[in-house]
Amino acid sequence: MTNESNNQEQLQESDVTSSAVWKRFRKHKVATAGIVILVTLILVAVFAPFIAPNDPYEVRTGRRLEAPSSEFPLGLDRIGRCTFSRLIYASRISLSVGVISAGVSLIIGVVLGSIAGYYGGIADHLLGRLADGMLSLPAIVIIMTIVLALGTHILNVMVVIGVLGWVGIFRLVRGQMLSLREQEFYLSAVSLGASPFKVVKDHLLPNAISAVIVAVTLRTAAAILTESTLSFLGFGIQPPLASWGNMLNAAQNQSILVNNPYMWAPPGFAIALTVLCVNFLGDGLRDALDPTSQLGIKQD
Amino acid sequence: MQVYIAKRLLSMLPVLLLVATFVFFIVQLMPGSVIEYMFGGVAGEEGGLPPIGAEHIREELGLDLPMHVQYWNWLRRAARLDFGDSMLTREPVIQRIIDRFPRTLLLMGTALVLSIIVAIPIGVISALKQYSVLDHVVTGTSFLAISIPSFFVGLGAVYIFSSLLRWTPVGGMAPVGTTSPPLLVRMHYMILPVLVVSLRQAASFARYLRSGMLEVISKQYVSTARSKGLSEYVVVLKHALPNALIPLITIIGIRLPVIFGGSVVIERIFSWPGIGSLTLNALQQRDLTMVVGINMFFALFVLFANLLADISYALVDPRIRYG
Amino acid sequence: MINYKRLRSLLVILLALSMVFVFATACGPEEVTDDPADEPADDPADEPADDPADEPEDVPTELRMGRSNPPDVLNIFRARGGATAFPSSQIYGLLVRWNDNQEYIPYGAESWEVSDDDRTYTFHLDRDNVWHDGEPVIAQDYKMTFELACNPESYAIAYADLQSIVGAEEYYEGEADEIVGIEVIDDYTLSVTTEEPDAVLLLGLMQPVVPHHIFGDVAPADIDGHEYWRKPIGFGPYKHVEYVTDQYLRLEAHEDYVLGEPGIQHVVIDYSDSTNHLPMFERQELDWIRAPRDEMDRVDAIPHAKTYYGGPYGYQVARINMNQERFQDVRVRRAILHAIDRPGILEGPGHGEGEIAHSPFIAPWVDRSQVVEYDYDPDRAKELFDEAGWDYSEPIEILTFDSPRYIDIASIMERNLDAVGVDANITLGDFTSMYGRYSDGDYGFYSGYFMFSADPHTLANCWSSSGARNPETGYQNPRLDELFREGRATLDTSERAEIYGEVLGILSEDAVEIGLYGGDTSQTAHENIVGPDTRGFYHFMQFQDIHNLWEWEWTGPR
Repeated sequence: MTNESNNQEQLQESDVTSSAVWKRFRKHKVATAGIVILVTLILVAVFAPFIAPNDPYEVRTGRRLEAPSSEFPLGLDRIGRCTFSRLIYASRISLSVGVISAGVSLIIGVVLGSIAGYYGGIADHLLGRLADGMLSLPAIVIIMTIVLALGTHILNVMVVIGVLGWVGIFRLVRGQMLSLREQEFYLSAVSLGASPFKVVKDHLLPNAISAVIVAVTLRTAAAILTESTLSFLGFGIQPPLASWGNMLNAAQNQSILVNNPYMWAPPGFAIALTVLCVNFLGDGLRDALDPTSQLGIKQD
Repeated sequence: MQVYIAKRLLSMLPVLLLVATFVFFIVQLMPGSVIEYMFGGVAGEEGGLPPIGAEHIREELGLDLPMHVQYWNWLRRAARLDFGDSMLTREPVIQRIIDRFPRTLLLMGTALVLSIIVAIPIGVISALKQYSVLDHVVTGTSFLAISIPSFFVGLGAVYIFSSLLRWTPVGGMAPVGTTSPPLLVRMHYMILPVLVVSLRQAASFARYLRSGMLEVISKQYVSTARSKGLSEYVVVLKHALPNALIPLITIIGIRLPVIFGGSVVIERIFSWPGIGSLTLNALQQRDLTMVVGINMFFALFVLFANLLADISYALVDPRIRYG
Repeated sequence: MINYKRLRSLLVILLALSMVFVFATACGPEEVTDDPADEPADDPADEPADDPADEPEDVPTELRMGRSNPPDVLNIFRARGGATAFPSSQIYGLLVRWNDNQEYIPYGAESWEVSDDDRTYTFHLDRDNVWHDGEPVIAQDYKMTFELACNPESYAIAYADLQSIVGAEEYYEGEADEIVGIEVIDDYTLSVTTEEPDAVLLLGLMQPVVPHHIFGDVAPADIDGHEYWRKPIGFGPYKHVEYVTDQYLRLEAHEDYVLGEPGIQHVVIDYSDSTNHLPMFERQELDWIRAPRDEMDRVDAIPHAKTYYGGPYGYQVARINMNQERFQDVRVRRAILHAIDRPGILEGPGHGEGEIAHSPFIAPWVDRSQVVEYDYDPDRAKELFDEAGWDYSEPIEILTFDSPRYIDIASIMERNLDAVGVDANITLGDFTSMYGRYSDGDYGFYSGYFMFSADPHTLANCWSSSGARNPETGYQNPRLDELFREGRATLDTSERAEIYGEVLGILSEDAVEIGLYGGDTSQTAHENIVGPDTRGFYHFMQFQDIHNLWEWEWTGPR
């Protein structure tokens, strides 16, 4: 690992004051565009009741699969609900699943990573094996199993996706901790008898923060994707709640796939757009927070 | 090297144990059991089995024992590499996996090979022609590839190439009533799913290769080679590329679980009867031994693939020594 | 610095390996399986065309059917659900069967007579009937089959249907080695004696028969693990040739079939993925499908498609758990019936094709004049809820399956209940978890689908207090128990029509379930196939969408 020798320099070289970061971030055009779109999406989600032309839950049994009209811009679904209004309301679900899942991953990753990095030895070894185990499992299958076991409530879906996504952040935090451990400020803090929690909080975490921010952003993108895949397979967010993934589930019916592309294509593009913007944001943040980083997009 | 491999193999054991334990208990938590699946049928009332019959099956399958006893029995047999029989069909779990896995391997393996073959030239060129149109296209595509859910790409592909244009079959891996059609027919069935999977992988492999190349090109020995008057072609192919390829091996190792886990989705969309669809079925049928068996098999596969990646890494890069 | 030679050779090896393996997997076992592509080539030789001028093209000898739900096992002592039923009905034969009017007619038995006290049936077996392996079918085969179907060691799947036979109970309890009421008089004569006259005995005897020459020496407990189920032998119209799990089942005509040689030589049932069946039919890869209701427009546009419609043989229904106190008040149940827009559900998810299920759809000869019908009337629903003192703060949990039709129905019910001020939420799960909760009684409101058997007595399974499925609904009524007893002991159809008519009246009066609708069924076949026919009855071995496959024929090219 060459990181250790570089670290001091890197910290000085990469000015992490907010104005400098913002300046570097703005240079990243696509990321700026990404954040603008994301903010728009968030506004749409927040103000969904004012934007949606119809009640997304109202059923019109006699008007199934009606084609788009001025009243229903994307037509009606199988039981005559307004697809466009559902698309708008679905942004609430999809975005919040992304953010909350990433938050859960963040908490678990940081806590376990700090423990492994701070104590090292047996704790590190055990957690390392646990992480290996997690990575050698087909995440989507395990998530489906757990969701089946706990029930498909939206909170379960959020938490399970989060719990299964901690390994990336864990490894990052652990790596940072291990490399910082050798350094003076750490040794002096420990020798002064500071509590482990304080050492981690005051000295180790601040140094890892920029890498963690980037990782959490990318985690959010991954969580949105996972949710949509789960819902597509019927294991995720359950109707009548609308999520982009479960709206796409309708396309598993051959005639809807062929005859009603306006029913399934928009949610698909919505997922792609959102995840793309979050990924751009992550890339921009990486460049802004950690300009020495060479490697581009990272995915888990 | 041998010591290293032995050590790695040994360290797999606790991971496997962890996986087995975790999956075993999680599956136990799922509501309903294979018994309900067997007797429910669609006709709820038709399968009205007397309680005594259900009890017999429960006993035969060992479902009447306390959970920890079931776990212990399973573990003892697993230690002898016996993963038991499917609770539903009574065939050995291993047999069912062996029936299915080659199909998934065929699909995903071909996609992986194809994506590497495509990624290498693209990655190299986009690194050499940094900020060219191609480079931007590659960067853009790779962002798209990781951002669009693969099932959406799959659905779109089915919609366009199968439903609208009718260029490809509807799904499955062979014409009705056959399992091993001639190679050309098989390829016709494979082409769409393989393209969908490899597009996604190729884009991100190319991107990794690009940054690897950029890093290597700036290194001293490449400049040395250049200064020796070697042609650019020789410099790139003989000096830069091999070094840039090394990290890719690790990336592929890391990516394997994602690629093969993705088979659940890809196989669903393309009706490919591989291990992914077996997994979905086993979950819905509450076939406990199958679900645990598949996950164990999967974990073993990934761990071995990673080990293999590390060994090849060591083989090509003499700087790395394991002891 | 770096050993690129080694790297290159490694890459070459890897590539070569993957290529080898791709080819190996692609063409490896090709020779092992029989290649059906050869078959059409043989046709002209096998079947000299009757009318060479009109039919220069081949008349296919193979029928390719697309069905959902692949069978998990073919052990009919363990599985009789929708998936196993269809292949079983083609492979296994029965003692008797039904005609169109639900009268019992000969199958394995050529004729039978009933004793004067209505308790003993003597069956004369068909002497030409042989198993797929050529062995004659004898009385011992039937006796063994009926006993295995009552033996707890082999899961006693049909004990409830056969328990009226003399000695069945002792046998089931393990006190006897055989059922004395089933007597083998000689190889081709069998008699069955019941304790009391039993109107549903022949229905109970419609068991898929398995061969004594294979299972005679097998202990009942070893039946399930037996090799036989991998390639079962029956005396049904088609022989089992090959089953590739979850992919396809290949059948071949049984030339000596007791009811006549099947008209189509080979049958392949494709189980790969039912959502693909319609486009596969369009491309003539399949000859027979059951297209989903919402795809009928597309089916109608296919030039070579011919669709056959039939009445419902099952119904969408919401069951209420009357073990829960809040559902015990009949006014609450009636309120729910008034609150739910059943015409809307029939029109939406039911595509307007079917009938509202005011009562279970059982045999058409049962008197329906006493059935009480509840209209969609939200105001009346509100009144009834108020009268019953319904606690509006407590939501109703609607349990249903995570597949489109169920989700749609539940979503509509949730809106309907919301409209009368009743809070409802939907819990979705896969079949196993939801049906599991239903059968454990761990539910309040369950929306599912139930098939109905042709004989009205099957209602007793759910609604008589001793029925196997009674605990789930918790509904008990002494008058009903009495009617069911009477109905079973009465052999005269018109008397039974009245008895079960009263049963239907009581069930609807008491609003015991929220019957939604029975959807019409349909099947679509190639226009050059004659024979398909849909009937509105279900028996796992006979009356379903396909009940006469052996009579089908190809009349022209594919």
